[in-house]
Amino acid sequence: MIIEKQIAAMNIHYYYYSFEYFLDVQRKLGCSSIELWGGSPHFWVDHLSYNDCKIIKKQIEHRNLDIVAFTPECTSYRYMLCATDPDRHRKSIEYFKKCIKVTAELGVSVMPINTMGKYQDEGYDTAWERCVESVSILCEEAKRNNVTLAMETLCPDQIGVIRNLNELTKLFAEVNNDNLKALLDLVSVESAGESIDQWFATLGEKIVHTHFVDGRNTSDHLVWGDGCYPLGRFITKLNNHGYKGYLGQEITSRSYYKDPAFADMKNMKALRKYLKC
Amino acid sequence: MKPSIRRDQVAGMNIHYKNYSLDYFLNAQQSIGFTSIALWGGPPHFWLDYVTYSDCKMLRNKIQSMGLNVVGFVAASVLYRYQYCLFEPEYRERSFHYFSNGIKAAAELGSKSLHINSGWGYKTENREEAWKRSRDMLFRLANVAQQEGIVLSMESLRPDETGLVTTLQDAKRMFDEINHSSFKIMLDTNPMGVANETIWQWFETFDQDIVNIHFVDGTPFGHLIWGDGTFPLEDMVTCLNTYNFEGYLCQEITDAGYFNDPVAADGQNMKTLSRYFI
Repeated sequence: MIIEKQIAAMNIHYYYYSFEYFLDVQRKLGCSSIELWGGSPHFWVDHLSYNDCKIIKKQIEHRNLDIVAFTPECTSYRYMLCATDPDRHRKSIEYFKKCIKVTAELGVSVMPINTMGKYQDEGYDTAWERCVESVSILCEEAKRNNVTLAMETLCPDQIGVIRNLNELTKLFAEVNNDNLKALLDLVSVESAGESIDQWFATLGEKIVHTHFVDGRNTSDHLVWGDGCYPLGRFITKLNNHGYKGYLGQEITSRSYYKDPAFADMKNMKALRKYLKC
Repeated sequence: MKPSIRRDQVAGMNIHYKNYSLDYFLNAQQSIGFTSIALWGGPPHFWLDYVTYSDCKMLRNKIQSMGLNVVGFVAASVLYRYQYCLFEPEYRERSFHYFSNGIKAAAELGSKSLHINSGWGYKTENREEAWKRSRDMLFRLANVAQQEGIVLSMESLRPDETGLVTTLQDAKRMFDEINHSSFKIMLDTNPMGVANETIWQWFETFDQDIVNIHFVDGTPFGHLIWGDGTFPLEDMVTCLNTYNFEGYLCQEITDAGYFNDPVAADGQNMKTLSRYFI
């Protein structure tokens, strides 16, 4: 049974609020697991340096909260795993290597990652080759740091290399490294016309993390109740497959930026109906 | 008399080309008939950080060899990381160096201005504290711009983006408080429309201090191509003529609906605007 501790709060939609505000809200809501989204203004990591992880760890643990995953910002295109330009590619690899170090220093093992950013005027095959090469390099770094990369697929309007279960399966075969696992992003899965059952049948225990949020027919990641996914049925599916990982609340729709605390409260209320206390 | 603008006053932008290469964007601008571009200096087309930036000499030569001129430059600030009013001193200093590099890049590319905004504070903090931080940052950057021989042009933002400069009145206050010869105004028709203001009011207040315009259609929401929104184009061009506007009309198209086929959007946009060309 999915338990409350498996729900992991995220800070993306707290963009206009301080990190401490985010943490205080989670404490109040009784949401003790945190999937730290490593973007500004809450955390700084670039291809040159990163924040002192001890300080942020203390901020979190001081409130009796736990970090359960570290998620690098990888949607702004600043750093792209499959960048065409050699200089941007080199900096991107450095960035993701730093993110792996951050993950290890925070004392967690899962680092979600995706392949967002591919020129539509570039052929798929060359981008694919760069993707395999980049992921392989990062897997070696992950191994050295005891970190697992959790690759997610993309929504149809997010341009990148790994867009569906088929391409992800192919990536596993080509990279062939135990430090590469899968992240089931519910909105990506649903909008690709795939299902939770299909993912578990294909990848099984390779699925180490989920971004488990409500959605509609767009790539918006919504709080539960604002979309049209059948929450109870989806939780039952996770239970049926014996899923033991976290349900990251990757809420990205800009409509929540104004009052993220209210959105999270509504979200937890919806989720709690189906959780084992 | 029919209101008019010059072709070289209309500047193409690359924000909605983020899923295409910079070369693809430049080729498209050339073939559509743009002669001016306002380069959005953000990923994936341009590298800018607090230490370094893309080779501007090479880029300028390439752009000019295609018959295009860089007439505006934006150091990306709405996509995480860098902005003008960060609370944390360490991030703020990085942002200062980032935007200083943006000013240098703008000058090296031949642009006379760097497009900026007020940035934003945390929603939980005192507005005046955030305002002061923004003003201090913009003043410091105005000094850098002066050294580099360009100006900063500040646009307003929407209330969902900041609690600082969202209206004409806010822009006037910031302009007066900074009071620097290298600090100018950029009108953005989107927040203008959202604030229920008109282009006439902005020109009445700032006149020649408006050096650029993000001149796009809107409902008022959305940075749309002309014809997809509800703004009165002819009346707005009449206003430009009335004030003898000599600056640039930057086509800051940001709506995700254009990302898949930005060339079609730009072609359509140019066609609409070309009715007013001299």
